[in-house]
Amino acid sequence: MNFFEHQDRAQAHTQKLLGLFALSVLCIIGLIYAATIVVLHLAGIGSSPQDCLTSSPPETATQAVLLSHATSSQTMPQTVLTIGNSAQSNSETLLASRRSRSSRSPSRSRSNFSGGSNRPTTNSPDHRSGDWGDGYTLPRSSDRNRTSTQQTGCTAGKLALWQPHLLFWVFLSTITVIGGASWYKIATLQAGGSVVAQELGGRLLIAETASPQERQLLNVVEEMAIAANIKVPAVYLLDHERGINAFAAGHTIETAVIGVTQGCLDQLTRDELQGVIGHEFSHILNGDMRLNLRLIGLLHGILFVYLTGRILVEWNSRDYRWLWFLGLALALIGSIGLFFGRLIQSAISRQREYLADASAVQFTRNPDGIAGALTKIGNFGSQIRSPQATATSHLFFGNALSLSMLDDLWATHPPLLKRIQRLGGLQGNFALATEQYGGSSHALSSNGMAIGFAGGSAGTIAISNSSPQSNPDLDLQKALQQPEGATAIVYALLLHPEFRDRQIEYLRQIEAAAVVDKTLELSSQIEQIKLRERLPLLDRAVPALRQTNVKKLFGGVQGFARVEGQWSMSKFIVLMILQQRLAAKPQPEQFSSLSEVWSDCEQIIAAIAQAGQTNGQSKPDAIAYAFRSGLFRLPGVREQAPSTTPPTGNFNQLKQSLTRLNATSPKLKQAIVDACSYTVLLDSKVTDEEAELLRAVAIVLDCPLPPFLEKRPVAARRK
Amino acid sequence: MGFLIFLIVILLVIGYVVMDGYNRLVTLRNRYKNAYAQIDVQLQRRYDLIPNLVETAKGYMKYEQETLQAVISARNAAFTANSRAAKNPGDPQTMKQLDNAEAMLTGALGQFLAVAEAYPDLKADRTMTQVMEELSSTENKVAFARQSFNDAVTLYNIKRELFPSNLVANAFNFATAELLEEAAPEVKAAPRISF
Repeated sequence: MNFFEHQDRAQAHTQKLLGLFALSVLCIIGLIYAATIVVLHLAGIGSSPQDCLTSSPPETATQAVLLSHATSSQTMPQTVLTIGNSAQSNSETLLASRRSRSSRSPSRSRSNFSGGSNRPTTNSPDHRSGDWGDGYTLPRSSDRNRTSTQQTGCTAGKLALWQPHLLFWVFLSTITVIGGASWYKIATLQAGGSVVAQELGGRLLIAETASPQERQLLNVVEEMAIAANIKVPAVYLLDHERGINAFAAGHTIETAVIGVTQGCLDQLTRDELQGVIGHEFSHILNGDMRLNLRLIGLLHGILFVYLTGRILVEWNSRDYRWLWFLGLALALIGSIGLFFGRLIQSAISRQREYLADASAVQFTRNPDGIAGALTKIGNFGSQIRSPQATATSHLFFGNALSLSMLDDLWATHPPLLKRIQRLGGLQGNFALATEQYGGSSHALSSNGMAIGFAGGSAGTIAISNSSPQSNPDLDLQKALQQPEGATAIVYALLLHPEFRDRQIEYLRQIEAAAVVDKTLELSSQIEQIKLRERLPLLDRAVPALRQTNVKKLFGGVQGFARVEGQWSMSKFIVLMILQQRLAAKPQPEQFSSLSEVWSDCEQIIAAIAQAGQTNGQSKPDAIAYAFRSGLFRLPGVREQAPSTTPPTGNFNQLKQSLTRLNATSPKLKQAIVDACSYTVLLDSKVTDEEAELLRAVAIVLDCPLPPFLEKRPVAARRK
Repeated sequence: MGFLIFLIVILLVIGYVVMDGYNRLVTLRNRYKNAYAQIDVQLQRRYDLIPNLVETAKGYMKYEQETLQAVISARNAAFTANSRAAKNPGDPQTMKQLDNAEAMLTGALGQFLAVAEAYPDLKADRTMTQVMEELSSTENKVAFARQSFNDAVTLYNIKRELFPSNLVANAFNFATAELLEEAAPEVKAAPRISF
């Protein structure tokens, strides 16, 4: 993936969209201007000709504007000053004109038309108080007034379409309204990143107290900070979110934080996690949150225009119907503007997501990481369920526009499929049947506070032909990481087909119902696992098992055996391994010479030799042969008297032997394990039982496993 | 009168362009210098971390003495090369030696990590998992620091050669920056993993 090119393209698109946004704001102003003119015309202002010729204040704001503009300040020292022409001030001046018509006071003119500056001038004090005193207060009550003027060129009754002065004031006041409202909105939304993260239920991760998973996350964040060449942000973990998602919050690089869901840590590999974090770093680096915030502020400003219109509509102006019309026009323009503004904002947001994907590839130089993460999101969903997520959204957007949000046009993130394609193709057998975007993630990014990794809930995405192995693996993987699941795995490994029901019954008595259910759930999958892979699975469950009640687990295993009525080799092995791993007490070295533990060695090697011949036919000769050969591998065997027949013993004796052997010197232990390996390999066949027992011996004696145990079973060679 | 205003405006525009170009070049140059310093930070971290990690691994990887030895000796060689380079900065000979020593160390560590993957017993142990994570992370950080430096240098060079800013660059003597060389070819081979 040529990420630089993708980045440049996304940046160019963003610039175009921002230009479009500015254009739409200008259009709004133009429309307001047009509406003002139309409304004024409809209101019949400027209809009486004689007003034009008297020295009374001009009836129409428009006429006065024309006059003052047509004449320069030098030639008309008595030129009136300007008239503010926002919707509000328009009405005010008109109001003033109506009032002042009745009370004609000689007007004083001021010649202070200097370069377009507007100093509020008043006719006389009583005008001022009278005009605005009837409770007609609007947020932008501009203190403007007109004084009389010597009229020339008054166009009585004619509506002039091009009135630059009016346009200028419409422009200025609309910009002020929008700008003021947006500034206010931005100021209120400018909470620091950590505040947002905590509101969403995030927990700050600290290196010293982090679990290994969290430690890995912190490392990944540090690596990406180095790659992006910015300082390392604080990392928050959303513990209770199972979906795969991440966000970046905070409007400057210094206050930026990164939030990650627990689902990310559980489901994603290290490379995929790196891709996701790189994506978030791009948001921080490119100031996407700040951009989003500004857009939202501007949209709020446009909303304010709409609200002004609605106030005018609802304000019961008995006398001034034109106010109502003006209000209606403003409301209409405002809502249309809001509609298109949201569209453009969503489009910009999508472009920034493409930019972030490309930047993630730039930082990690590995498109498969982020593509893999997106694929997993497609399968498992990215919905944020935190109720605070909706609380941090700002509901008035929902109220102002009662349009459905479930539309691609409003999606803040591009479609998953397209993102994966841009990264360089689909992975695995993954197909998106349908896509739907839920509302809660909209809320998350719709207020500019945090920008997430994937939009909406992909929970309704249909999974196609996922292979039967992949699903159970993932279930098992998830179970491995929780204490309950790990316990269930252990029990499931021990279920015997014949005694299953009684074992389950026994289990119900000692363990919680959740564990029992999980055991039943996993048992079918465990049965599919090959024998050789069961013990490694046990090993992987150990970290989670450490957090459970270990004694209870041992008791459970022993209980299983009791139910069966006898110990089997596999149960014995499982118990030994668990005891070694979970409850091993450091043994002081007691024995250092072979003679002290000779009988124990014999026991062990005999057991292994026995295990190697358990395919129905027990050939005592072969067993004896293996037994002796193994014994002879031990150092110092010449001084001993090896038995001719291998001793048989029960599991208790075996356990005792192993315990004693555990207390010998490491060198001797290693020698014993080597001898056992030799016994196993003697017939060039490694059966599952042999492998299991050997593995158990090596684990209990705390020795490294012989490498051949990890290889695939060697094909049997016929003798 | 109008012409004068026009001229003033033109001069202001030119002045703005020059100022903007100069400032951006300075910014980008400082960024890549910062990225370069970051590489050294990560290298130091790696030198400090390796001996501890190898000690922890020794108990488990009894069959892998050669690999462990290779790592330790490569680490020591790189450490001395680094100290020598710090004393004579800019000397091409010591820089070359440092590059080679670093490449050898990366290769040895790669071998160590690959071999450690074959020990599930090792992997199951919690301490060792953390230790491996730290080691992988350190290697990643060194790599990312180099990558970040190269990216920063590329951005600087691009800006330096684009049209209006190349005039500014030549006027104020902004030199072209050098990218980091790749590792020596003999070490580029992937570590052989024998089963």
